[in-house]
Amino acid sequence: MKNEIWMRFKGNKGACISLILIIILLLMALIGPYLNSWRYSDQVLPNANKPPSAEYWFGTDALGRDLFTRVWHGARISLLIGLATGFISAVVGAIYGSISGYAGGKIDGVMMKLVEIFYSIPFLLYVILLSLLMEPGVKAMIVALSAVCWLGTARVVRGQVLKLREEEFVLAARLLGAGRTRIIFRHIIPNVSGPLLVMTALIIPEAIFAEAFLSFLGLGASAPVASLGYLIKDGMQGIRSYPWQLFFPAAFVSLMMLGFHLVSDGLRDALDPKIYK
Amino acid sequence: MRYLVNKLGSAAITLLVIITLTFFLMHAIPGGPFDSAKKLPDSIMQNLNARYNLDDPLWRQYLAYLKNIAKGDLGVSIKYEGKTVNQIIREGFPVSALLGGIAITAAVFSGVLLGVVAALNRNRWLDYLVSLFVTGGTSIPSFVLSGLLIYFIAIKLMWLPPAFWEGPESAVLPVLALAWLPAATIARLVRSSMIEVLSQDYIKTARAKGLVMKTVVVRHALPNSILPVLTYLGPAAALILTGSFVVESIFTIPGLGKWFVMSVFNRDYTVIMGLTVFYGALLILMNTLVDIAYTLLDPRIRIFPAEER
Repeated sequence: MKNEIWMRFKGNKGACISLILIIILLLMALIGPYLNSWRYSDQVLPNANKPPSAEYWFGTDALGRDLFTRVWHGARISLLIGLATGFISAVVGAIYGSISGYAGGKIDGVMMKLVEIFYSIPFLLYVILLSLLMEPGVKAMIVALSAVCWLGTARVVRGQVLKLREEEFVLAARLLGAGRTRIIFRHIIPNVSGPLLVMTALIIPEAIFAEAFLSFLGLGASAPVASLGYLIKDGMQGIRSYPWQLFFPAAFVSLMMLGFHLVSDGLRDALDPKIYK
Repeated sequence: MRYLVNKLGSAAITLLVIITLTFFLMHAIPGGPFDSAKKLPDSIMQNLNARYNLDDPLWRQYLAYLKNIAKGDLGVSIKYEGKTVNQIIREGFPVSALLGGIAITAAVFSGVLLGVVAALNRNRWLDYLVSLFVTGGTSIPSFVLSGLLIYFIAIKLMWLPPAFWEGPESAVLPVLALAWLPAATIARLVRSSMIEVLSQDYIKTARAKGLVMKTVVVRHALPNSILPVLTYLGPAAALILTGSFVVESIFTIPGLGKWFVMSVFNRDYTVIMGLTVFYGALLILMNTLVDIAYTLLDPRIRIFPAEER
């Protein structure tokens, strides 16, 4: 079964290339900031707004900081926020969704009604309000994004669990005397891992986008650390004369989102195309 | 009819939740609205707090807020003296509604067109071209797209103005930036539903009785394959709405989105609250209208409610 999924995923050229792209981006986010002699906060004012050159591979910003280092540092923050949000949403969503689905009846109705109501509110609007509530920073961003993103996961998981709990292996486990907690964690959740993975792969680019969006509005992780969204915001200011300050961070945000989108598409097709229709 | 009452009921509950959540979130923010670098004398603080009822217990403030909203009063700005949220909406909303309306129309038309073209040319180069657009559209954030459009079309080629809201040509770039993502999503939706519809028996019947492909597509396949687009209109409206925050700020369009961003930037809490509630109500209205339209157009929904499908 696992092999078959992997074969189907491998057959999808776009998804495979994207997976490699993501791995490269992750590696570069880890080592990129150390590849030249500049640190992300080093300011060399006489060298401000220099175009890309042998010394500054991606040019410099308005304060003479090396853009290459800053872009990879920003990519690290964006990826960290995306991955952390994806992970938290997966855990919370899986637990909430499986409890709701497995309990069924009134409990399920109330739990899902809650999700439904929050789900109908535009998600960026609430992330904005939540991030106003906290000191701006990476942690606040992760908390605010996770607080909204788990809703989608919970819905998908609950739908899966409703189907799964009628299966015979659950009945067998119950006959052998397994308790609710054990059934949910040992039998149900492992069986929703496929859809859960797809949902998470969808949430990651969504979170990266939302973080960039909020940083662009000035609500993200603040100076001197700068996520890609911040770099784009800065780049926008000098767009007339120093377009590279916009192009490099913009290109990497787009590549990141493209990569995760294609991987999640590939995963979805490989696992089961019918679930998400 | 019962369905309608149900829908309206849940819309009202959602709106109440939005109001409540917004209110308590805004009041949970540490620090008061009058905290500034320069410490104000205590007596002035007290007067300010009394003026805006900030001394009352939270629940009383909440009830007062609810009562005001029920009267259609969304509050006053605490950063711009004499400006009310209602005024801001009156000034900004027509601009945003026009921009958003054009964007959503453009997105629907181009999305449907692209989706149909892709479905009819399945697995040929036109299809691949459309899917390239779709992937690009879903991966390039609107603010990045705005930047690129400004740089290449407004600054390098000088075809269109890079900013401001003067005359129809200044609307082209912001509409493009706003409509791109929903257009891409609609194209994908229409493509897959069109492919499904085209394989149905009644299409074969229509073809078999000698209708030309064009008539079959326009008269028989299209009406059925654009149904999913209708459900997407709600999310699309939300998308365009949040997109308008950045797009209006970038293109300096005096719309509601720019006001919202400014009030977030200024921490103008009452305006943030008022606009959030307004946006929430707007979207709920949109979604409810879409739901009702959907039931009118597709009788299957009435017979099989969502839970059973």
